[in-house]
Amino acid sequence: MAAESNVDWDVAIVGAGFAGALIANELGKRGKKVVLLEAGEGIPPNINDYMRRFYSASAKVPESPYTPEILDADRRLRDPSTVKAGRPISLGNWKDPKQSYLIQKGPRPFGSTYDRIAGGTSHWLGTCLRFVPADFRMHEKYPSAPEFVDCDWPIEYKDLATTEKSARRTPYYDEAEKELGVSANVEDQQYLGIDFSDNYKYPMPKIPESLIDLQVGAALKALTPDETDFLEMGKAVTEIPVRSLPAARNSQPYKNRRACAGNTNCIPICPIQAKYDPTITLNEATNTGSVKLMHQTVAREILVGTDGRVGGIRFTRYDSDASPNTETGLIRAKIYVIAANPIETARLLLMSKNGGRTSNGVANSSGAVGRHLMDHPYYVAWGLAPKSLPLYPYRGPLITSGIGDLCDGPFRAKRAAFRVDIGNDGWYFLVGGTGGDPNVTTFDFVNGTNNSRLNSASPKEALLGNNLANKLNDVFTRQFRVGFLVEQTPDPNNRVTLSDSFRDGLGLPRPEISYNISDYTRQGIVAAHRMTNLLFKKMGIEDKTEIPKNDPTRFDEQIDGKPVTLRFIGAGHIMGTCRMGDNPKKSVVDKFQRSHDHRNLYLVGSSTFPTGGTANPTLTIAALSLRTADHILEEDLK
Amino acid sequence: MSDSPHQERRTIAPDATDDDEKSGRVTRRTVLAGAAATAAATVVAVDPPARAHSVDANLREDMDAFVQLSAALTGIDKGKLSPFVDPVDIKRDYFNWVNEREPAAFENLLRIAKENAGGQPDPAQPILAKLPAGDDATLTPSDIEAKYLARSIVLMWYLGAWYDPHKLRPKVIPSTPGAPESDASPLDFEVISPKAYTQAWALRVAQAHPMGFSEMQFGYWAREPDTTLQFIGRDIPRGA
Repeated sequence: MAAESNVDWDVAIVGAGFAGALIANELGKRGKKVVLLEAGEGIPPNINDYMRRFYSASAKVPESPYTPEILDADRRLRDPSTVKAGRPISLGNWKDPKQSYLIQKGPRPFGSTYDRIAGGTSHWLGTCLRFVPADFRMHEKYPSAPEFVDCDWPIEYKDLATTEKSARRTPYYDEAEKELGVSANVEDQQYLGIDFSDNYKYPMPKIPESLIDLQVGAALKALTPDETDFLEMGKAVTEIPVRSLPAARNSQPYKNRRACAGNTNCIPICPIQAKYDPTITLNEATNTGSVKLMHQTVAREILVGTDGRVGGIRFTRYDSDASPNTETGLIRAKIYVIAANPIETARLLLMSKNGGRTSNGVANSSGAVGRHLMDHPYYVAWGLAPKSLPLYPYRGPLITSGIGDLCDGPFRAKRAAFRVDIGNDGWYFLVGGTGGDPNVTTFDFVNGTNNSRLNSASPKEALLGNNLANKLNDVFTRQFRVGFLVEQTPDPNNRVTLSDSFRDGLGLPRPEISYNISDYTRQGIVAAHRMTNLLFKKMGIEDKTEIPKNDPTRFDEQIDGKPVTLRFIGAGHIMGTCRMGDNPKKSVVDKFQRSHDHRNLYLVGSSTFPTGGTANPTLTIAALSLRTADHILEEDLK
Repeated sequence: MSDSPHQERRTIAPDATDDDEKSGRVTRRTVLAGAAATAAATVVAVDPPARAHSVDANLREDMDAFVQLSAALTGIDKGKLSPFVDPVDIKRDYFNWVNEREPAAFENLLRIAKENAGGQPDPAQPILAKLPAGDDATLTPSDIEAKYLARSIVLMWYLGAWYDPHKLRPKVIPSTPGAPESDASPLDFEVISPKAYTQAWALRVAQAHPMGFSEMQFGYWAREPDTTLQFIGRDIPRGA
């Protein structure tokens, strides 16, 4: 049994990602003894191995820099049944359990991935948007949309954005922005009811807009009311501006980290750590001297006593995937926090059967654990700008601006809202998969092929020398792409359960996923498609979007009397499975993310989101985590 | 997202060592030694003569030819491919990489570069003019090898990646008119090394940088990029 088992811990946290790291640090700063159980590898001494792995990878997917290694010794995708702390990856056949860690039952693939490693999903982009006030109140504001019944949050925007009476600190959103180091300007971010505390300033000035952002902004200024009727915004279209994107990306030196140098690689890794990732807070936490990180330590069961309180967490530590050496142990603490991301948190709760006493899993008297899995289905379109309008992509952060004003409006009674990303990354992840370009287009013009649909002359051009360089300069500098993060309705049938058949390298059942999108969300994608057409028309962009014939996310819609095929991909914004609410019969945790069933158990992270809005979840995860840390300090450990 | 579990990469093969020779691995030196022995023993040479492929990254003449050839193939100034002060020296990695895999075709290409060096005003033209081109059905086997190796070399400089020239060749010859010249997958490659990835030219030609390897400063993306003269040593007229 591990020596850590004998320590008298105040708090045990499962998962060393965004939420776990922030809570550990808050508690550690106050002298509380905290142990973090992390399933994957610990924090490396530097990021050199991550960078070497990324640079060497031929398929540059979000998971490329991190462990466990994607490929085995025979250069094949590793069989997840041999991996002790497996993870979903962006490669392979989604339905093949020998390639996919998640056992996907469909009908649509769940396309988002996460990492299991100290620092959690460090491959995030860095976007730090607040939720808009309506996101917390979808049923109240749009009662005619049946998809949102019973899912108003038990908190509202002002609970995170203004000072609570009992709180000893500044508003949680403000605090989260300070922790993560967000660059933005308040003037750009005051819209759709988002307001700020008096005299508030973000920690750093905004990240400058790219040349592409400016061109999109100019195109939006030329929109007419007729053209934008379909958006049903209920207000003048002149109010659709391009806004700079708040990001946990340094615009000047901050907390001993450098300013962004525009490596155009935020996903999967910033080579100079100008983008925040949770290893930064983890290091602060362990530096307090009262936080211990146990890596390669997989929680396998939450033990609940007959009094309904959690009494311990059973875990297995492993040496490596290659080694048979493992050791099991039991951690006991006063308070337990599960911060393992929506899929792994639900999986752990469901695996915790306590010899049959909790046969439906821990914290699951409502039956809601694992349900309402959400993402932001991501509709992406791309094209080629005219020769008169070079855009110069592949420069700057991957995204510097977007269109946020379509995140809320009267249309939300009928169809999903979306937020628009303006890509600075050309066609990097569009042709042939992530890292497809520059390779695919270069290959085409060297070899006389047309995989990227840019070499459409007849006969196809096979170029060398100056002709090749001139052609590639011409097409690369005109590549454009736009993405739409569409709100997904919470659906009880979008669900994480345990696989009966497939296990991981520790013999634990793998997560089984059922997933689809609702008509409400599909109609949001339809509006996104129409918005794309409008934007391309205004900018003179030739649409080059291609949807593979065998894409399992394809669906057909009639748009303006014509059949159109659409699709979506994962945004990496995994939410739901342990929804927050006031009613213990219909939700899993209360407004402080405490289990309705077990008073010393907290479930944190985006698993508790009752709805997903359109903002990426991280800043709200961080704000809620700080709030939960306060609650633990004030109520449980005072 | 791609469905292709691409091959894992290899790192640059280190220079041949005595250990390699003891272990029986064929190196350039063993090939040369074997060729010398063959030449000594065989008085009556038959067609074709056994010939050592003997280009060497350490010989200035060979390396110069490789840089000339590469500049002609890529459209990037040779002073950019091989700067006067060149501590990175990716050209040497590339030279050895190709020479290890395709010695005969490589020597053939370097010979063309040597024999057609010094053209004015554009030194690339005489080299490009002599490269094997046209329908594979009209080319000799060695010309076909050279034609596709030239493409692999271009892709190597542009992407820091190795596309096997044998895979770039169409499987059916002659191909039907209008068909793509290659049925290879653009995703079937290996990254030569982390260093090669960071030295790739494709996005420098686009007046940018390899993803994850910026040598620029905060805020550069809000301004017009440097000119192509600054990036690749040659002006590309806008809209060329």
